[in-house]
Amino acid sequence: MVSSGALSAAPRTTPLFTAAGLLWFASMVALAVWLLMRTAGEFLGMAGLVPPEHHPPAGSHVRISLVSEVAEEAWPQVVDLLGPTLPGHWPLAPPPAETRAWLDAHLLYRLAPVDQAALARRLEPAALRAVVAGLHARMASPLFAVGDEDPRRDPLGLRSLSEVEPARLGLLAGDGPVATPAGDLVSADGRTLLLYLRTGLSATRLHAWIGVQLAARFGVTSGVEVVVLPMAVDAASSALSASSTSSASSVSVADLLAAGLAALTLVLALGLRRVRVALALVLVVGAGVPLVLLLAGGIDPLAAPLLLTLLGVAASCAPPVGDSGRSSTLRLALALLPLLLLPYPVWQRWAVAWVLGGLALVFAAVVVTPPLLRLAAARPAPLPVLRATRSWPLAVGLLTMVACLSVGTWSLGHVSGAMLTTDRGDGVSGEFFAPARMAELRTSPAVDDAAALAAAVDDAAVLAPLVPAAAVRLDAPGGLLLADGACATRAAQLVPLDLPGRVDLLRVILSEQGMRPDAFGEFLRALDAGRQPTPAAALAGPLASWFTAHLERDESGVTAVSRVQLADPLPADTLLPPGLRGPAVFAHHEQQARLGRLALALALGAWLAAFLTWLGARSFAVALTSAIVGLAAQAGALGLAVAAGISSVPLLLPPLLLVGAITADASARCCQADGATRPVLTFACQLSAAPVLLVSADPQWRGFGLLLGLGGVLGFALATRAAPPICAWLRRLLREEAAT
Amino acid sequence: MRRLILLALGTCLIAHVAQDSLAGPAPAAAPEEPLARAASHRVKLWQKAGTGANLTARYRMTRKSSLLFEPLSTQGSLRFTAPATLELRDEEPGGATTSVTGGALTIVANDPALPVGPTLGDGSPVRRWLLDHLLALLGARDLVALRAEARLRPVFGLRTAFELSPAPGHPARAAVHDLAIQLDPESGELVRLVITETGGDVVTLTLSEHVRTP
Repeated sequence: MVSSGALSAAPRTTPLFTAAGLLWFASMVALAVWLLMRTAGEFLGMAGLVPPEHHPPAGSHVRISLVSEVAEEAWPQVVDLLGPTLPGHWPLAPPPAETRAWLDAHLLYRLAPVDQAALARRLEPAALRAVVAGLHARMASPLFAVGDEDPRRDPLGLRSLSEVEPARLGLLAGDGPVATPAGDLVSADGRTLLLYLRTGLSATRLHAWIGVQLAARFGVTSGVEVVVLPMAVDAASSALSASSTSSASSVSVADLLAAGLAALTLVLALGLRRVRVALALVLVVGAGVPLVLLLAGGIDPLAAPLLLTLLGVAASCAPPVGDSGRSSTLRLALALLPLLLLPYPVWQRWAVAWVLGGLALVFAAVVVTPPLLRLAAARPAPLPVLRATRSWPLAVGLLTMVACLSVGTWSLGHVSGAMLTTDRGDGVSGEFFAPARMAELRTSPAVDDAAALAAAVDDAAVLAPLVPAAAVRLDAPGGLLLADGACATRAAQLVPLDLPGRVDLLRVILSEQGMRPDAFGEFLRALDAGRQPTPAAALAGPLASWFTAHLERDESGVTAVSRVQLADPLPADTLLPPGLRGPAVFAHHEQQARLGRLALALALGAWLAAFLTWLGARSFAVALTSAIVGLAAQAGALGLAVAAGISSVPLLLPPLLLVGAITADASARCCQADGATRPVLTFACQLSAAPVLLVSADPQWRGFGLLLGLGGVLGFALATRAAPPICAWLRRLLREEAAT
Repeated sequence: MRRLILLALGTCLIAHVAQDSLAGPAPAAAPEEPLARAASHRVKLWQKAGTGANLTARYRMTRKSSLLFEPLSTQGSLRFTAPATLELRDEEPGGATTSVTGGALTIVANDPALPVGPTLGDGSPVRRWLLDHLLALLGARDLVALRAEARLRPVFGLRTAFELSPAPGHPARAAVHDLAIQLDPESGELVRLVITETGGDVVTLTLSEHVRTP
């Protein structure tokens, strides 16, 4: 039986409605033009999930390779001298010669107090004679030069007393890249140089700058290959240039949007059996896209599925489809609100954009669609035949719910916090180290350089225990220094060793073995306890440029930056120091907190659905049923997602929350028996984006579509079949009146 | 007669100019040809020694170093077993024995009372470069290994000598400046190796009484 048209009772077109319609379309067109004229923003992709404080600082890695013999003559000079001529040059490792000299000059201060006895034994006269005789004997080998001994700086082998991991001192392991005098890295075969330029200059400008420097300073115009890679969280997406990524993403999102609107039109046309009505509704809702984009801060490919789903959800709330009241609209509009509590910037933006954009679209659909339909002389859509839905028995409903919740609980053990923040063979700095594994720790602003370096000593002490299990290398200025107090304590411990007397004896022994004592001057001076590794001495020493490169100055003072290269993978139970920042740090936190974040979002979503349902229905039974059914649908959808290989919590959250809200909304309507006139069409509109996403090219979009589609269908089945008997049972349990 | 001579000279001049202009500019590789030819000659001489895989010989080593008042001189026996085992046994009681086995280097003082040095792996690119090239030199067969990450230059004026140095930018340049190699003009055996270290030390290794065995 077909009833009269839904719009027959609508008020006649008044000037106010016409003006509102005109205003809606005019303002949206103007907004669209403004958005198109605005410079396209940078699309972060998965990096949009990482908070800004964990993004790497602005900078680029530059890889220069020797590809032809033409540049071979100048290559050694390029390796040693090019870096400091470039803007924002930042040493990736301490210069080896100067660092070695600094460490050897303060050898006595690097020894732990527990090594005091071993040091005293080494300085015994008999031990001194044996060590010098052994050194003289080994010099008889033609291969003595490539041993690990450094007789000029450490003839007694005192370095070995301090078993400090080279990584803790910022030095590189022996079999990998080598640090140049400027602190850059050169590959083991010597043919590839890696520079780090901490500057916001674009890759194009840097490339041109480097080309000019190579030609002007070194006469190199060919024979080398220069590749500039700006630092980014998700290296795979940043391998392209910024402009090409932006345009490509814009095009694919526009395609997706067009396909989504077409799917929505098809669903509406089939459901309403009126093409003009469907077109009018899609036109009104689709016109609101610029407003949503404005609220969301642009088209982010990662969030494109949300935009598509929002259009369908807004259309489902419009009068021709189903006018189910404010409670239902609010339930759907606040679906993503739990995302505000989680640390994903792109989802936080969309939580707000979903609420405001959704309400605006529904309002526009309610206000603008009727006059537009009259203007188009559209015939009212016929009301469908309402067939009574056969619910499942209570036991079956309860069992299905328990099964879904069990699957969901099992799936919790299989979700991951993978953020795709590690480099995936970017081809520029990958052979040296993964840039995304670098993390930084900054001191509080200090009054001057020395004070900042003194504070960096504490940072280095915090970071040092991470080596070697959790960190591969530490690039911390504080690791080479001691605070003034620690220096004084150590100096007092050295007094009983009679160092001046031992130096005189060593001179005699060296001479007896035919060796020049003056050739060991550096070492003999290092035995002077008055030479201390204080921040002031560092700023006046040979490593001053390396120390100052780790200092950043602004109006608040001087900040010392310590960097650490985190292991990949990090042990799951690693506790990283608070204040450490970097994409790998956030990924690690995500891995540790993934279950808590998922549980928080789902619990808050369920509570919100229950609360809003209670506000509308004033029934605990209905509220409780909608929340439980929503949770069961989410649990079932989670199980499906895990089975389909989609396990990243940040990617699972939005579709799961939407499935929960849509199911809870449908459940509340079914329980109250006064819901939408077209429950199937309402649901089809809300899920119209799913098939479009499922056939899209982007794997993340496909995952979203799969989760929304399958979860939505499961939720619809639970809401229409299981929710009514459960609600009735709860009503009996809570002794509520059915007509509440 | 004078006319005839002038005519002949003029003809030669025209022919010379015509030959230069028709031949065009000399190919860019032309200046390198003598270099390549000279290197090739020395390489062939060097490979001549590689008829037997293993080598034993007497050696005399002299180290000139700023650490020492006087140059240090020792002598002993060298035993090379292909492909990568080498022992230099110093006969002086105050000297040392150097062993290379499987890429690992050990230098042990002959006096057992003195501290024993560590066994050094092949992790360091500097050590790896010198060991690989020294072993290749003694093996006298593997030209690819000899030229790997290195520059080979003939010493002009000495038809039996050439130099090896780490390739530009190679980390080994931090320790080794070059190796000057002199071969026996008849057998092609290595008779003199001078290692010039970047630190200034110069090590001269003189080999004699070569015995090759399969």
